[in-house]
Amino acid sequence: MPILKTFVTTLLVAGAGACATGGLSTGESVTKLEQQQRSSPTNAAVNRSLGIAYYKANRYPEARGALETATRVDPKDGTTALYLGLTAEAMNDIPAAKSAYSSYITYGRTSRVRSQLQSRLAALTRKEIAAEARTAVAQEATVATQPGNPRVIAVLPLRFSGPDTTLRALERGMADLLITDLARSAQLTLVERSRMQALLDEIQLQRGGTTDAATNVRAGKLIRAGRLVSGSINQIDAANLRVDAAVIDVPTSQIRGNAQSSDLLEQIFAIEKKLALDLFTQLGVTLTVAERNAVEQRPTRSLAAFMAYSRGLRAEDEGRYTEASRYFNEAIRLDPGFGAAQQKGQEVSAVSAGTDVTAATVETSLKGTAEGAIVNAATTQGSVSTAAGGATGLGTTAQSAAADLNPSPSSVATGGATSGGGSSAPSARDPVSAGTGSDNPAGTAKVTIVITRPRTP
Amino acid sequence: MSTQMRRLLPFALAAVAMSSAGAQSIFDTELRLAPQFIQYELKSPNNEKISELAIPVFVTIPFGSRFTFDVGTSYARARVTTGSAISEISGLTDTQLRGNLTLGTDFVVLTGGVNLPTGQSTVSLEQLTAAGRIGSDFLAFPISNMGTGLATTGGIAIARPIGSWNIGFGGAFRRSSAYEPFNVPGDTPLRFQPGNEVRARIGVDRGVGNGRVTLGVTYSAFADDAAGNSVYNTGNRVIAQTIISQQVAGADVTLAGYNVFRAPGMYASGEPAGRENIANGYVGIGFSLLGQYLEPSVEGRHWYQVIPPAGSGSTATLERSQSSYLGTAALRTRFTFGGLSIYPSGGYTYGILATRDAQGRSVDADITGFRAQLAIRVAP
Repeated sequence: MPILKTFVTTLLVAGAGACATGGLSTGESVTKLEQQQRSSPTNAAVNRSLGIAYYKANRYPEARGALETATRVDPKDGTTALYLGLTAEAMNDIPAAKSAYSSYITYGRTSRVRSQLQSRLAALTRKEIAAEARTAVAQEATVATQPGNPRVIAVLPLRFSGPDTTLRALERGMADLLITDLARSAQLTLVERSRMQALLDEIQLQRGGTTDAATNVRAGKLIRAGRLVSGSINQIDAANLRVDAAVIDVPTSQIRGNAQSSDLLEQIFAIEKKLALDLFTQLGVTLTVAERNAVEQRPTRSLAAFMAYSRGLRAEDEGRYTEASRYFNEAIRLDPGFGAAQQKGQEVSAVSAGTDVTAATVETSLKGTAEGAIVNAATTQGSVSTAAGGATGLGTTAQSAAADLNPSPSSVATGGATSGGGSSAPSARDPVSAGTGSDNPAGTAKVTIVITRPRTP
Repeated sequence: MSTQMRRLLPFALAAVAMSSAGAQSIFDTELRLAPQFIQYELKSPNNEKISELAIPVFVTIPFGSRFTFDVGTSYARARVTTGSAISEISGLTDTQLRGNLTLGTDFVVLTGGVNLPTGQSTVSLEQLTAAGRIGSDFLAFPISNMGTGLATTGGIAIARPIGSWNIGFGGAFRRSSAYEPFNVPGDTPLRFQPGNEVRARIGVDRGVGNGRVTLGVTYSAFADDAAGNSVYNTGNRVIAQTIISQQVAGADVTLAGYNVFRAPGMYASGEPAGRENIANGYVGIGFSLLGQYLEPSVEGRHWYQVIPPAGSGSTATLERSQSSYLGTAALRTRFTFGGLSIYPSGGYTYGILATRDAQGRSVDADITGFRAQLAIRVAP
């Protein structure tokens, strides 16, 4: 049919014309997109593509400006959030990077990238804690003069002394147990172990690897804790341990109380519980019945599992995440009900995976996806692809196909009126008017229906 | 059932509106309302005036990021005046409930829908002309029928990127229940069973510059319809559509087109229905003038019909073809107040309809027409 052929030819020509694009350098893409941005300064897709092109050209401040504009217009666009995060990370703005990555995890379309960014967030949190520690030490003159809240308690790693060095890991494990138990009281706020450790590491780094009692108080001041808990674990003989702890008032550096507990190594949890209860007394805290019951809960019944957990904490503190993960898994194997080990295992696995996540690995994951098409169009064509995200993404392609497959006449009747494009193609047939020919205006208004009736038996 | 449905509909719509308050993405809820009036006057020899007043309403409610529910219906009044004879039908049309579930990362959409028979699927002989004329694909009224009985549709659509293009494809199946299309006093009710429909669709789209190109083809295959002992098929359809939008010198340019091809089939009477093709092209240019957005447009439509041979022996006629044309010039503007957008528009149509005179000779009848519309979109 000539008309159908003409129409199909027109479609093919239009499609071929739309296909005809060539590759551009990053600089050319930026120039082309800058032109588009001048004519559409608030267009989300244009600013997104320009931001991506700037990022690829290592022009981070400009990339950030364009991507922030795109985010303001369309805060639910995953690709914009991703590149805003990459740009912020390239500019060492970790809080901004974390915020943008969180946004991508909510709105992003590529599941592999979502998974990568979840891990990256865990790694960035560690990085952020270390950066905060560096900043605190750098600004010590002002930070340390501000008095800490006496209800804020920091627990330092305990010091181990004894012949069996395999027990040294208890330094971290015991501190972790004390933090967990002291945090049961609503009257106290415990400093996270990882934050305290990062600060100690930073101070130790500045002092060439040495620490002393003054260092601990200094760390307490920097982290704005009102009181410190420090202590030691002494191996009395092959089977017995004694644990001593002291409460130090940070502003005055004075010891405000002591606690001590000793027993068989196998009774390590009983030792810790007694110590914790004594510390509550020293800290002036009276526990409620519920809080006391919570304190008396043991994380595990297995000493071996706890030792593996403690070794995992040490490996984690030293940045050996793969090894830490192995220890936590060992703890879980020995006691599948060891909740803290499960949580730590997941954390360090995420951190371990997150340290391997880079801009390059993320962009590799984008290849072949709708979001990757946006990046590709921005960087190699200087064009604004709307393949995914926002109102005209790949999801929209699927939704359009679904709408044509399952049409709603009122949607068509109202949609064309508000979106443009003139009359809509008939979405569905009316079987009766088609069957009787009464839909044909070329006929007469008189409609004759001839239907064979069913025969009566 | 139809009457009950009509009574229940306001409550259903209210329930939908209320339920939207609890939707996870309530701010994505969208209401569209588009009251419109269209009238065509077919000059001699037809001397027929066909008009439709339609008030379609459509609400889309996302429940979370994966599931979207929409409901749509319309009030419509169709009237055909031939001399002093008037055929008119009015009332609520059927109501469509649809749900779309997105799987994975937006690439797969499961769609399901129900056509609730809230409309008037049974018409009297006096209403038949009006109810039938609005079904004309050539005149393309916004509401093309008053009711087609209960029907359910299920389908799947998949989208994938291929280079810079998105490709979307899928299939759907529609099953319709039987209903009584005619109300002839004193006559035995006639049961009509529409044939099931299978749809397949493939389309591509991509961004180009500041705009977008969309191409799509939908194929509909119908099983036989059955009315009493008459079993027939009115012909399968192929619909191709394209929209190209682009910013040119600060103006929004839209080129759109569709082509509807209907394969030869058969009427309920047993007479052959020849193949036909309707091609439609549209050009619209949107720009701001003195602070007001204006969008003038022109649209052209061509209807090609093959008239099969009729009769037998010495009275037999040969197969022939005929063409009809419509051209419409329109102007649309837009007012936006926060989440409320109002699109008033109007247009004038002139065309030629290939028809036959009283002696059965092929002649052309002039067509004039106009349309007025006030489309409203609320997306808080």
